[in-house]
Amino acid sequence: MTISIQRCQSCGTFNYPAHAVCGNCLSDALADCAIEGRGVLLALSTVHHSLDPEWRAHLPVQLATVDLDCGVQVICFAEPGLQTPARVCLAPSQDRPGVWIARAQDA
Amino acid sequence: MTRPHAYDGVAVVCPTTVTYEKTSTRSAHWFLARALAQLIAAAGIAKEEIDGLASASFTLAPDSTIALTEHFGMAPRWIEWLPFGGVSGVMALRRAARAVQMGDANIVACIAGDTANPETFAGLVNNFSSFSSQAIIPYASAGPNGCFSLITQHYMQSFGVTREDFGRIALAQRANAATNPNALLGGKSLTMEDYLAARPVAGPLHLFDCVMPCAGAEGFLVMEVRRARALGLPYATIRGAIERHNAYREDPIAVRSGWAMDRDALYAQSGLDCSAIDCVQTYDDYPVITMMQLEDLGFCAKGEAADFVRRHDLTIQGDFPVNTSGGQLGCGQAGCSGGFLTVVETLRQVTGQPLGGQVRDARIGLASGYGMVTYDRCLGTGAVILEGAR
Repeated sequence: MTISIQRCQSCGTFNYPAHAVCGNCLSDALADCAIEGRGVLLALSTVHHSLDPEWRAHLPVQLATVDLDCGVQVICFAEPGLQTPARVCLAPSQDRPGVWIARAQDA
Repeated sequence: MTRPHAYDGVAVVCPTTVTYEKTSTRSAHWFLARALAQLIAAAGIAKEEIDGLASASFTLAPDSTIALTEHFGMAPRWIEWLPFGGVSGVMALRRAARAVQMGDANIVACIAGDTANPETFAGLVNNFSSFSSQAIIPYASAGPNGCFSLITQHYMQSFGVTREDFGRIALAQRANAATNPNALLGGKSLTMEDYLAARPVAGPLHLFDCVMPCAGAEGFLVMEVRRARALGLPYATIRGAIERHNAYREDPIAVRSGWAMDRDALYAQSGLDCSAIDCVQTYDDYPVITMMQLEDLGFCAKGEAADFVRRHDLTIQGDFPVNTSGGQLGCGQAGCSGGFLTVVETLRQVTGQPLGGQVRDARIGLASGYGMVTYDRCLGTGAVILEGAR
C-alpha cells in the first residue's frame, strides 16, 4: 500500500505538508508522488482531549510522529501496541478517509 | 555573521499588566487600550508623546496595529504588528529598541492583549496555519497539546525524564504564583500528589502541564535612557538580545530550538555568562519547553535539565528563580500576552516593581520567548538580557 507525498520535480526533495513551492529550491514544479511510507516511529501519544466536539466520542486515539525514509516528518495516527522507536509503515486509514495510520513494518 | 550593534542608550520602562480574567466579553481592543492607558499613567506622559506603537494579538482580527491608532486616537510615526504569540515580546522589544536608537521614534509603547471566551481558543487553533489545517487538524484536533505531547514523550524517552521532573517545575511556578495577585491559579496550592494524579490530556501531558487560556494584556515602554531619567522612571537597559526562526528544521522532532544557535551571540553581546543571571523567565507553554530553554540557553547541557531542576530551587527565594510571576502555568495564557509576560516580569524583577514576590537583589534577568506552532514545533525563539538601573 502506498501514500502520496508531494515531491519537487526539479531537485527531488519531498515536501510535507504540501508546499506552494519546494522548501529546498523554491521551484513550483511539484507533483504528488506515491511512496511506500516507510520510516521510524519517533514519538507516541494517547490523545484524551479534542477541541472538536465531533471527535470526543472517538477518543482516546493514538497519535504518532513518524520520520519517513524520504526525509519528511508526519504526525499521524498509530495502531495499538506500537512502542518507540520502531520501524513503521504509513497506510491510509480504513475507518477515517483522508488520514494515515502507522503500522508495524514487517521485518 | 556581522556582530549586531549594542543597544546603548535604550531604556525599557513601566512594566504593566492588565488584570487577567478566565473569560471575557470585552474585545482585544479593550485589553490593549487598558495596557496603553496604564503605560501613559505609569510614565506620567501625554498620549501624544507616544510616537511608536508595537502590538501583538491573536483576537484583534480583522484589525491590527494600524487600526489601533484610529481606535486610540494616535498619530504615531512608527508602528509594528507582531501577532507572533510566544516570541512577540522579545521581537517587540528588539524592534522598538532599534527604532528609538535610530530616532525613528521617541517613545514606543509595546503592548500585547487578547480576549478569551469558549469560542476564541478553538477558533484560533482551527485557523492557525495552512500546514496545521492540512496536516494537524484532521488528526483528532488535539491543538497544541497533541504536538507537544509527542515532543514531550520523545524528550522523556531520550533523556530519562519522569513526570515528577516536570512536576518540580509546575510546583515551583505554582508557589511563585501564590505571591502574584494577577495569577489566576495563585490561590490554589499544588502538591506533587495533585500533579501526578491530574487527569490525562495527551500522552505524558496531564492537566497541570497545560496552560489555561485567559484574557489579559501586558506592556512596556521603550525610550532613551536620558528620557527615562528625566521622567524619573526606574529602567532597565538591554545587555543583549537574540531572535531566530525555523532553526534546526533538520531535526526530525524538536529536542532543541533557536536559542542553542544564538546563545553564544547573546552572551557575547551582553559581556556576561549564565552565572551573572539573577532570574530567568522561560516561555512555559509546557514544562518540557522550559527544560529545553535551560539547556539551549546554556544553564546546563542537553539532556541535563531534569537533573538541573532536581538540584535547584526554582522558587522566588530559591537559588535559581524561574518564572517568578508564576509564569503562564500559574497566571494563565492571555494569548500573545504570554509572549510578553517573560519580558514584563524580567523588567519588574530587575527594576524592583514585582506584582508578587521580589527576587532578592535581582539586577540582571533573562527573558525568553518561543512561539508559533504552525506544524510540529514552534518556529520562533528569542531571548533578551535586561539589567536594572536603579
